[in-house]
Amino acid sequence: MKTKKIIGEWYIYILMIGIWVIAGLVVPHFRQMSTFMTIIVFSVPLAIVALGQNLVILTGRFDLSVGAILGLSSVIASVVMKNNLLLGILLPILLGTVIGFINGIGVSKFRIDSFIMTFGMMAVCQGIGLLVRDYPGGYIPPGYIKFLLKETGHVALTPLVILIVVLLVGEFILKRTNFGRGVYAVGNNDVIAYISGINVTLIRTAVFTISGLTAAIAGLFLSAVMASGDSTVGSLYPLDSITTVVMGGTLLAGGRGDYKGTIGAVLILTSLARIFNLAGINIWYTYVVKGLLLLIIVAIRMFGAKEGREVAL
Amino acid sequence: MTEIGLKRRNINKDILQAIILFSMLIVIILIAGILKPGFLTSKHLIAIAHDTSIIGIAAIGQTVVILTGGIDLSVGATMLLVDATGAMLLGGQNRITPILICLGLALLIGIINGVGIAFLRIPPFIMTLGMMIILTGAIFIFAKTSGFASPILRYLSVQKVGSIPILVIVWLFLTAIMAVIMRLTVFGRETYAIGSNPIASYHSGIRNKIVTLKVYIISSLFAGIAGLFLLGYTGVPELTYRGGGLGSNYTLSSIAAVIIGGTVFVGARGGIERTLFGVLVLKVLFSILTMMGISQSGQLIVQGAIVMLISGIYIRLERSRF
Repeated sequence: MKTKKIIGEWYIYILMIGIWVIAGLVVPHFRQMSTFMTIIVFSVPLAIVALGQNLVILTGRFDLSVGAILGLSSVIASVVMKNNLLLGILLPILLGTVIGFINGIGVSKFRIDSFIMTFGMMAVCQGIGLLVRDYPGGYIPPGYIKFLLKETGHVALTPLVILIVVLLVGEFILKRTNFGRGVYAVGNNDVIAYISGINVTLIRTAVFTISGLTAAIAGLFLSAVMASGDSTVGSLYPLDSITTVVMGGTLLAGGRGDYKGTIGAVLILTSLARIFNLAGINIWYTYVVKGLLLLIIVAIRMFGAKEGREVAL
Repeated sequence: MTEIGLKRRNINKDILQAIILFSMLIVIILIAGILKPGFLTSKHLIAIAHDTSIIGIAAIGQTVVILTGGIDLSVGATMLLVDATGAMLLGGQNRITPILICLGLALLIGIINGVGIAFLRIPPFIMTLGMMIILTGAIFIFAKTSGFASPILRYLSVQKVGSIPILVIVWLFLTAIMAVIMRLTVFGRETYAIGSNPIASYHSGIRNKIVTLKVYIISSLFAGIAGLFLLGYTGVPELTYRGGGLGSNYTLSSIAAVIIGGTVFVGARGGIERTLFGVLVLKVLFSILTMMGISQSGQLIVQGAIVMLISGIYIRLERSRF
């Protein structure tokens, strides 16, 4: 019984190690340290976005606007950083938070469906992003890039640290704070949460605000990786972040899941792209594998779930 | 509250929503006519309708799915898969087999979606998201960017009867058929029943799983038909990857059209005929913005704001009647 529980909680890491071992045996280049570091660097932005997305999904909603906020943040950074580095960091963060807050108010106070609210916000942010910069470019200070992507030996130190910090912060928020418990409670049943004295509106607003904030931070990191600003860079992030959160074991209906599983799924997705790239396989096969993995994992989980849910489709 | 009272209340609300939607469409068109005198010519309005019909056909299937409380994110990918496969197999010839293969493909996608959602109990969002990701990969692995539509398909998509394009007639015809099916047949009632309360519908003897399966098959088939007409309309396959998943622009506008039309995710209110207006509002708005020389970025901002505003108004309407 206990092993079953452990597997249920850590299956995504078992899968990840399995993929890494197979890839290490089949693809010689995969065994290099630099490959591992590339995976880490590309995992960071997705992991940061997925933290906010994870909180939103745990309350039973989702956020489609993360990609557009990410792109907007990167173009604003690319414009402002030329004159003032600090302002170039603070302004995107502030903007992302405000956009997330508007999403949250729309969903919690005005009860607009989160799909519609964040879909509309996605279009608005894409539009503003294109207004600011309609083709990739701009200036990102080399010192800023060097700081974020710093390498000592072959180890990309800062990205690794960021990834670990993000993981710890996410797990801490969810498992050790009142806010985290509130998120689970709202996701499980918002009526009961309301009756037991939890401020549902506040929690819903807060998770969307955090999601906007994390998306903006991911945009800042990504603009360092690209050394430029691009308003369309985030187009894959909404669906990728939802995919990783669900693959990592969080219920789309909310209330159950955690963040460490999401990080595992992020590592798997970025590893797959890298492995296929190194093995010289057509990159589009990663999409097929990604989709199949998502469906198989969810199908197995639903198969294991209690039969009581059978009636409600 | 008695059942009759409940019904009357819903009807009032429905009529109010329809009036809002219709007057909005008229106001938008009138404003455009004042701003740009060329807008109100019948020729231009018909051109807009022609442009709308492909997404309109896809939105019919999406409406049926959303009525059950589900969502189909694979609509756009199915459209483009059929689009590319059709072009590849047809190669500019008039042949029936490739058309059947395309529709078979759409049918297969619908069956897989339906089985996953109804029998494996995968949430619709996840199932169709996974399907979209897989189709995105598959299409770029197997499809070539070559091929042409067959002359007949092209004729049907481009030519006009009198001054009205055949495609618009097909769209209106399909909308009418599905509206009748949804309102008057057992299947339609069952779909509404599942959408308003799946547990209640299960206990009243409706086979939820079979109905759900059918719903997703219908959605995919309409996406397939839309894909064929898309091929006919453009003549060559559209294989541009815009990011965010294959055909996500089609998927998202189909969902936006359904929502603007007033069909809601929860509670099974709305209908096929509403989506007709929803898709028109969306497209008229876009064509006005294009005509006024507003850039793509401005169009995106306005579209997003309109979608949020309209659903906000609907929610207000809903709550004021409680």
